[in-house]
Amino acid sequence: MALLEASGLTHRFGGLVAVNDVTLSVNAGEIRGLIGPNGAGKTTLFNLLTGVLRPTEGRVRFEEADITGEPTHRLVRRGIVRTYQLSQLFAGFTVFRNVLSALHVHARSGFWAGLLETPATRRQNDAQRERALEIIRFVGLGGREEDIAGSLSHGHKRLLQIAVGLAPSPRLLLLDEPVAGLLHEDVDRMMALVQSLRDVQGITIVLVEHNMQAVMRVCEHITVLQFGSVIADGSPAAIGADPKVIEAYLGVFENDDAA
Amino acid sequence: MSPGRTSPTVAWIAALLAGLVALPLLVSDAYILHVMILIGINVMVAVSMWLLGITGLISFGQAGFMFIGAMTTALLTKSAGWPFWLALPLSALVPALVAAPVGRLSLRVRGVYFFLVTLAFGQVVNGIFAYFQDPFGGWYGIRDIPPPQPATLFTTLNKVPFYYLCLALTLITVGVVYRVSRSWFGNVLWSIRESELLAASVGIDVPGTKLIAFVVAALFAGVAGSFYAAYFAYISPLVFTFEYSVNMLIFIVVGGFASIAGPIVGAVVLTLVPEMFRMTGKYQLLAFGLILILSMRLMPQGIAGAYAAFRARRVRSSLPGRAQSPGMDRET
Amino acid sequence: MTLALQIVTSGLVTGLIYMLIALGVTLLFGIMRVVNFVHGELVMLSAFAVYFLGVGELGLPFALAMLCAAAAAAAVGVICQYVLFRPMHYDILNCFIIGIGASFAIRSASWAIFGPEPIAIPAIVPGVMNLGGVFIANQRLFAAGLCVVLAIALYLFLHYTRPGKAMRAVEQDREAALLMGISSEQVYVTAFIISAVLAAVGGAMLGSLFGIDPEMGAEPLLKSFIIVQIGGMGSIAGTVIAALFIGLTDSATGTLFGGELAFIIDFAILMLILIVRPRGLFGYDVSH
Repeated sequence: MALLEASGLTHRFGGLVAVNDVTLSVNAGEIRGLIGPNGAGKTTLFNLLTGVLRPTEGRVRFEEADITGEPTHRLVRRGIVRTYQLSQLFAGFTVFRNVLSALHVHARSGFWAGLLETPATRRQNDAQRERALEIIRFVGLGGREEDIAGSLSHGHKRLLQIAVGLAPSPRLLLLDEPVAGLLHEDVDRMMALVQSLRDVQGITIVLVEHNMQAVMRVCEHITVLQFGSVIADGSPAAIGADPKVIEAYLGVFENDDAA
Repeated sequence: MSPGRTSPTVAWIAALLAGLVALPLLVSDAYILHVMILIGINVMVAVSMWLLGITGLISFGQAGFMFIGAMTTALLTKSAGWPFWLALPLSALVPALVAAPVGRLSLRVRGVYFFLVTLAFGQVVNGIFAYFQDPFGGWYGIRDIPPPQPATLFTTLNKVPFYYLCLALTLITVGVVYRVSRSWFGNVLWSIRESELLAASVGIDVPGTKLIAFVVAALFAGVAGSFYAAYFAYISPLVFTFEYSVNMLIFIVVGGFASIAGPIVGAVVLTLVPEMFRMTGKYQLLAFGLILILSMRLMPQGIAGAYAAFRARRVRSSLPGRAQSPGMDRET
Repeated sequence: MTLALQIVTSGLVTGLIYMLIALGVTLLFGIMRVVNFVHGELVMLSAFAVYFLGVGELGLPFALAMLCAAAAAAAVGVICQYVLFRPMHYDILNCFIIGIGASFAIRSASWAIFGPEPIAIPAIVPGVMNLGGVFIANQRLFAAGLCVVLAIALYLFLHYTRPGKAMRAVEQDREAALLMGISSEQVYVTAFIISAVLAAVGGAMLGSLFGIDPEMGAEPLLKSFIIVQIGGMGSIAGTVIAALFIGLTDSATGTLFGGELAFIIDFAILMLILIVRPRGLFGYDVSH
């Protein structure tokens, strides 16, 4: 069953066509890779799928419902969460508060309950605190709950992004270059985490990445973009052999440099 | 949401409250009560502006909402003969109702443009009340606004009932704003300040939240305006000016932004200083202008922030990354 | 008919003066995203300077007095840049606030020094001209002409001189300009200087037509915001058109309904524009 379907998605901005008639379909439980040379429109496509941009043409469906043009925060409530290329964090908050803030939005019992402290709200607050700690441990940041987000290392920041993304209990997670700027061991750790997100939590994943090793290892299905259009769509083996893809990248597969 | 604060702080606050309540019994000088009332009005507006400011929105037209509240009370009590106690809730409601569409439209623009719209709004309100002498009094304003009932209690000779009324309204305002700022909603506001993009990405309706904050700030400004009208018995466009809006902002800048203590401290200090030095009119403007510049250059964290930093240095060990924006639990 | 012509000519003249002042505002905002609240006080201070240097004790010829006032304004402008705006790292909100503080201080200081009463200024170019039934004071023609000349000079500067082109480069893309070796600090200083000079001349012209007083800077400043907003921040053409429009609107409503309403209508127009088309006629997209 297709969880997410984009049909004929196009984005034009002042004469530039960043995304051109893109159609793709992601099944529940998949780990989908979205790759392409720089400027291919991958982040723009993400922006279209997550309400940051409105498509000029085309529609997006999620779990059978048409979500075209819905704003980001509404999509989060539907279960679509996205992380960013440049880590977006509540830099002044602790790791714990980052995750707790994201949890609050979804499990609160109402404005007035927040003002008055009933035993019910207290129990809910405790439950949320527990869940925040769980999530933090799951991504591997256990022990760092009190660290200020802004002071974390780059790798930990990217882990925190994932933790914050997990708080709204997403069914679909769109990861924009999760291993960008990470060293080898951290890349492995991140990709293992991504895998477990699907294996353990059942979250469908779509990830944009330049690191071919990571993509080939983890993704079962890969979509390739170039100049805003889909040029190939299939299994890693098929993609690796596709002459159009090889031409688009010109030697990236031979040259095994991590991004 | 927060666990009980540390015992010394609770004790201090209790002592302060007791002092405030007992003040008229200990002091008979009407002038002192008058100054306390001025402080109360300023605290009310400053604190509500602060709540809005958490989201990063500064409204340069709060005086406009105050004026609307004051005008509502003036017209209802003087022209329509309503009792003040009925006029008061309406004077909170009307500015809030105006703030909803104004806020929604203003929030469509970002950054500087928002500030300019609020500035323009304040001027438009002022201008409209100034232009139409009937029923708004024009430049002459409205005088002889009746005091709250019972009139025998709220006479011009005895400031004590006014003092207690102002104290009650101020405490309610501060209390509500404080609770909200420490609640999950308050955390949403702080989150928006940290990163609007991430806030939206975790499901926060950023424009909607900002609008709520904007309307709440207008509501409390209306309450302060209503009390102003009843206490001073005279309102005019010469009072609720752009300078007045900026004054409230100066309270927050000088007092500090990081916690609710900031606007309170700022309002107290900057109400007392002009009174102590008998500054009026242009001299007060001059002083405030200089104070604003000095504060932004030399003490950007404000008095409350400087005090907090001072205490932190003395009490805690200097681990890196210990400071954080205030609000929720798990911190002292 | 004559009334209409009177309104139009009067509106065009004041519109041109506001245009000059607004050009200073848009220059700073386009290049540095700084909204300079002190700009209005520069207008006022220059008007006073020209008055005291020219008509007062010193009795200097107008051109000399104007040059001195412009130089003084430029100095004050650069001082403000270094003392107020640069320490704030040109952050939009902080500059806004600190600029307000400075304008309060300057305004009340000059009120204390010069007193609150407006001072009427004798015309620099006396006499009246009759253009097809409409009487225009020569002073107004002179003011209009001077503003047009300076606006053209500004245009030529920005498009045909090195520092001018550097400014436009920084306005469009600061990083790219940096990569091309353009020092943004130099550009900023130049921008402040030019902006101050424009304010100075505008102030002198306003003063010569309407008299001087310590509060005279507030209205041109706020009108400049409106003009720049309608025309689009950073757009010269937009500023010119919007300034003429506001000048004409003010003249019309002022003559027909009284000055108060004109001000309200101006602000209502500002709010409308901000709502309907925040970027103005020719400005950038501001929704980021």
